[in-house]
Amino acid sequence: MGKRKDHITDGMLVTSLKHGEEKAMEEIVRRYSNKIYNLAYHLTRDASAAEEIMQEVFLTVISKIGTLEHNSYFSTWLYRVATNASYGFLRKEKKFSEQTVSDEIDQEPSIEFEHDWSNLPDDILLSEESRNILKDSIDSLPETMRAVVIMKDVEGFSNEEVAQALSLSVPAVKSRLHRGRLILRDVLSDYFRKYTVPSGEDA
Amino acid sequence: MNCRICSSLFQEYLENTISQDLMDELRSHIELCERCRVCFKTYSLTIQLSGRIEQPCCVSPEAMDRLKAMLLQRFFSSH
Repeated sequence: MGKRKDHITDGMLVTSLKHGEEKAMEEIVRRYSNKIYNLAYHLTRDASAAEEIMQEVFLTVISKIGTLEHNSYFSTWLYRVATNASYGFLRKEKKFSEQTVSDEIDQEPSIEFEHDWSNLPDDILLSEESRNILKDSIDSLPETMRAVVIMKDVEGFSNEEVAQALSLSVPAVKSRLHRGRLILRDVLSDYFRKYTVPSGEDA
Repeated sequence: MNCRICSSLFQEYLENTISQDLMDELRSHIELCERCRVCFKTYSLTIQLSGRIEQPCCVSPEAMDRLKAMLLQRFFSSH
């Protein structure tokens, strides 16, 4: 049964939903609830907000599905509603400060001496402390850069999905992603230095 | 190929969206230049770590029940 359902495309589900078929809504919820919840959770870092946003997204599906012209754009449309609702929440909570609105970073990330931390063991790379440092650094990226990094690298969306959900061009997504990754890499390089450079030899 | 161009192509390299010629140039630069090699390894690892900052979470059964109840009610009132 589950296997058969996987052959049903989103476009087919949307057509059924437009005809008021409840089963189509159930399948859409099955396919997208976790994805929408995770996306909203990572954007807002707030579990109850993520639940509310997820509800809002599916309510929007019910009330606005008739306005979706191209059924194959369904998932993109869902992600766009979810990211907009997440931004709405963050604005309301004033978690975006004015200076994060701009995506411009004054200086290029440093290209100084590089130490190789890529061979550190997983228990260091994935320690709670290092994961928290990475989370905090992602959170402090400028608004759109942060959303791009979360969608692409944390949640695994494609460049095209990110671009459509955030109303950006694919090149704009890629440039923000690249700059964001360089910033995060610099932060991690600083943090892991204590494990790769013997104390007292820090240049 | 210089270091600046090399590092600007990491993303394209990982997504396999550059020509074979450029790919070969990039590979040989990375082989020869230790700094770019380290940069590339740590850049790739940063992406992997971002994908692992949190255990994949999912909607709790209670939240799912609340969602379904709400949707069912809304669904029938709109159809």
